Amino acid sequence: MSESLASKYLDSAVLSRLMAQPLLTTMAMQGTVSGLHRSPHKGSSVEFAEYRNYAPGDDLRRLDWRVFARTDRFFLKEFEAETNLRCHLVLDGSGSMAFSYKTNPAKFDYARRLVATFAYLLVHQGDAAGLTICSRTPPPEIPPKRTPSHVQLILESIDTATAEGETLVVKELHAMAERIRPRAMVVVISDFFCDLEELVGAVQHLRFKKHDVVMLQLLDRQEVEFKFDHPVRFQDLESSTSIVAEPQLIREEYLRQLSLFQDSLRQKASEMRVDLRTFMTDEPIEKAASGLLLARAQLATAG
Amino acid sequence: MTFLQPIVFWGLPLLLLPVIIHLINRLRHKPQVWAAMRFLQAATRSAVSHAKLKQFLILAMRVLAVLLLTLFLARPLSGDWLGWMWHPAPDAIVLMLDRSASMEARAADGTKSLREEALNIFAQNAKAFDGRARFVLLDSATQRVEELASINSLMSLSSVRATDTAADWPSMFGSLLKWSLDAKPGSLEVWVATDLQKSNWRPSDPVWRSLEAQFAGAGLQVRFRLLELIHTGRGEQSLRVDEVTGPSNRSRDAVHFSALVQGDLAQGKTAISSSLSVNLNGSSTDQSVSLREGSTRVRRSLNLGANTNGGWISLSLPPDGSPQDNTAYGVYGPAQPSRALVVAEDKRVGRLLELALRTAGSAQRVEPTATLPVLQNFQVIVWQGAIPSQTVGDALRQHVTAGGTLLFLPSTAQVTNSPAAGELLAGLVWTSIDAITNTAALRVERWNEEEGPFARTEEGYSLPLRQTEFGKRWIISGATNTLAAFADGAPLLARQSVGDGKIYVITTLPLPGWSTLGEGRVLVPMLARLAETALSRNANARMSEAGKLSSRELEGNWRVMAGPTGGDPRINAGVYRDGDRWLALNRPASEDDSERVTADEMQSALKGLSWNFWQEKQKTDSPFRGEIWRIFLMCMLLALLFEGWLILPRKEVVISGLGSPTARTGGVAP
Repeated sequence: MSESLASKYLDSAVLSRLMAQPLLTTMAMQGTVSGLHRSPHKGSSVEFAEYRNYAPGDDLRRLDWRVFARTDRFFLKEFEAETNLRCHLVLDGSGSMAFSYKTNPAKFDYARRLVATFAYLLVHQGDAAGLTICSRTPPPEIPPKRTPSHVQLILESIDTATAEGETLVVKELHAMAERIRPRAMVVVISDFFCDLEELVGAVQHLRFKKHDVVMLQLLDRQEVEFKFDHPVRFQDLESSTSIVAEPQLIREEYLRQLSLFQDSLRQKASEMRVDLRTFMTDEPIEKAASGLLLARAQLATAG
Repeated sequence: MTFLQPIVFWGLPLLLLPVIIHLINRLRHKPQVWAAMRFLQAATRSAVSHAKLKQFLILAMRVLAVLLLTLFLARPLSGDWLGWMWHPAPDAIVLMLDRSASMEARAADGTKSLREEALNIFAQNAKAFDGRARFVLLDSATQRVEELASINSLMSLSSVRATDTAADWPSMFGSLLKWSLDAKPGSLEVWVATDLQKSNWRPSDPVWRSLEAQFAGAGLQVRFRLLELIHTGRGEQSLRVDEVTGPSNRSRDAVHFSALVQGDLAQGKTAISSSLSVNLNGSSTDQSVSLREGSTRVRRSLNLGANTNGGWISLSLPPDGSPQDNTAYGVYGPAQPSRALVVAEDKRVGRLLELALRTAGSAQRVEPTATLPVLQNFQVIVWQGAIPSQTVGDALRQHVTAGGTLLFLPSTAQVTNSPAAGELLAGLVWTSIDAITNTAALRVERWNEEEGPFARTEEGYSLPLRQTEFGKRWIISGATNTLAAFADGAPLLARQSVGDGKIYVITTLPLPGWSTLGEGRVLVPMLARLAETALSRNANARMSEAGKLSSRELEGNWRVMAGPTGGDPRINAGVYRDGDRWLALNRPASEDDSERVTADEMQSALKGLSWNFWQEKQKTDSPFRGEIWRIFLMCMLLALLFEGWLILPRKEVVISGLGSPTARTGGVAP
């Protein structure tokens, strides 16, 4: 792993603290090797699952002879299978992600550090991590793999990526839903400033393919406070549109519109049983990541 | 509406300041790249009309605040249009005009009188109602209600010209009420022009309460507007002729006059030299007089030469801001013998009085119990002792009312005050005989040396009253005009006016044990002066106040000898002659009174009526000052408050699921 890229996107102290809590999924995953996550198949782990009647063809070694001695009937004892997960990290590379205000980091930079952190953690816990960047000129998609050298590939990919052009997240999510095998974890990192109905359609598509979808929304503090003390010419980051406005006059309505969007997004996420979390770019990566990890662990335990 | 500081209106271009600041602010917008453009576009679309309206209101409030600030600094006075704009045209407008003498003082511009200024303001403001309302004039001199064909005819009416009368406002309001009840106008507006002279308004007169009740009971829709006119001249004098004595036994070829000059001098001066123009029967001479601060008595004798018939004098001071009170008139009758009647209980007193009076003319003495001669044959009656009967009391009062002089001396014994005496003496009551034991009270320390029986001689010498000793006196109460008093304040000589005549009351007797008046050094000149004063009240030479005499008293063919051309003896001061009869009319003494009705008194008098004040411009400090800057100040503050409320941040919109900088928590979908 290149030391320069690693130091650019990863913080070893943060990672060492975050590694204590693995990233878990609430759904059964289809992995390739054994791992931390529940599998839809029964396996030979130590975790008892259920008894079932013997059927011709079953392996006689799996018969529970103690039950046969007591009941004169053949029962097979089944155990939970545990597997690793395939996590597809989807990074929004649209122009709106390039937004930053004053000293706050750009949303895209924050997202890149999140991608690097999660990729490292996933590989470290034995899961496979892949990367898809949704942008006008995307780098090649990186399929999920669990080798440590794979993290380096991901770091190199995000390092070369730029945020420009219009949002392509919806289109890419539909494509992924068709492309990747079912029962994977899909982590989408974006500001989700796109048509809500289209976004919901894409996420539903993923959910239909039994993927565990996690939506991480990144916003700048100025975007949710909208505090300006002078007239401003607002220039759209994704198009050539510009608006001259007096923020003091439209602030209330702007915040109302944003609030409506956020409420709708949360409502839809809840209906789709999708984990939606919103981060401000002025908060530390560690706090945002640890919050997500803990919440996921609690949900996994409860499920 | 008028303004005391119109120069402030040069600041009106500042009204554009908020607009200019707004435009500059719009031009200095800063560029900012933005990600959440979809919300910005939606906000701009839905908030544009509301925001523009709000922006316009904010700008309008700022401009309004600057405008109101300008008006506030210009010190506006409530005036014509401000009052009129709130009310529709009434059916009738009554112009109540104060034509009293005091209204001839100069207005602020110095060229017109207060009356003329009032007429101008009336005419100017009435034009807005010409053809829409009836105009009615009610003037203070005639108290006649006169309907005007057009407001343009107002200035040419004889009933708006200057007079030398006093105004009787309660009576004028009575006339207004009577007219209102007869004419029954639907809605009535009354414009009152006055200088608010207290003697004319008499705010404490109970008749106001009665008028108020009558106006309320009549159910009239009346609004009163009071135009206050104030003359604020300083360093002005007024002149009054108190007494003119024609040829007498003492000086058969001279006429004497006593005049009073009152007023304040220029600041820092205690005395000034002025010129008094004296016109005797048409020949005028200028005499120099020295005027002191407050009042100055001027006494002069004028040589008549061979002409000892009746005649007139007029005195004039140089004109000042109040020209109406710089001229005074007097008349005198032909030479006539002085006749006095002495009626005394005590023979010694009677004898002394008779002897003293003979120095000025003839004197007749009778006992109180004897039949009295015809009183009209005497100018002076000296009565010592009790009034024997009501009939005698009535006869004496009639004599005084007609212009006679009565000197009353007390009885030597303690007697009950008779009703006849009480009525005759106009409320003055004998109380008790007081043997003076207090040594401090033995002397008379102060007395009126300017006029009256104890006045200085023409040479300026005082009567030896201070050397006169007193041992006994009567105590009297109810004296309103004390001419001489003991050191303890008890009156020695008091004077009451009854009709055209005067009653003098002295509280001691010229007897041993009572006083040393019997020595004659005071008593003789005192009685001689009374006789002379009585002579001035000649039946053929009468001095009175303009507007005071009845129509019967003014019957005759009076010609103007001095005074305004075409003067009317009913309302104008001057000298008038009808054959052998002479008549001098002066403005009423109350017109020289500078006391004005205060705001509280006015509100108390008019509290039941719907009225407001309306000021002439260029006022100095006055309780009725109509500055309405407070209204503009309040409106400006309200405009600023409203503007502040408009720009106040509205209730913060809470976006759920967002972390604050200190509590950074993400939302978790359930």
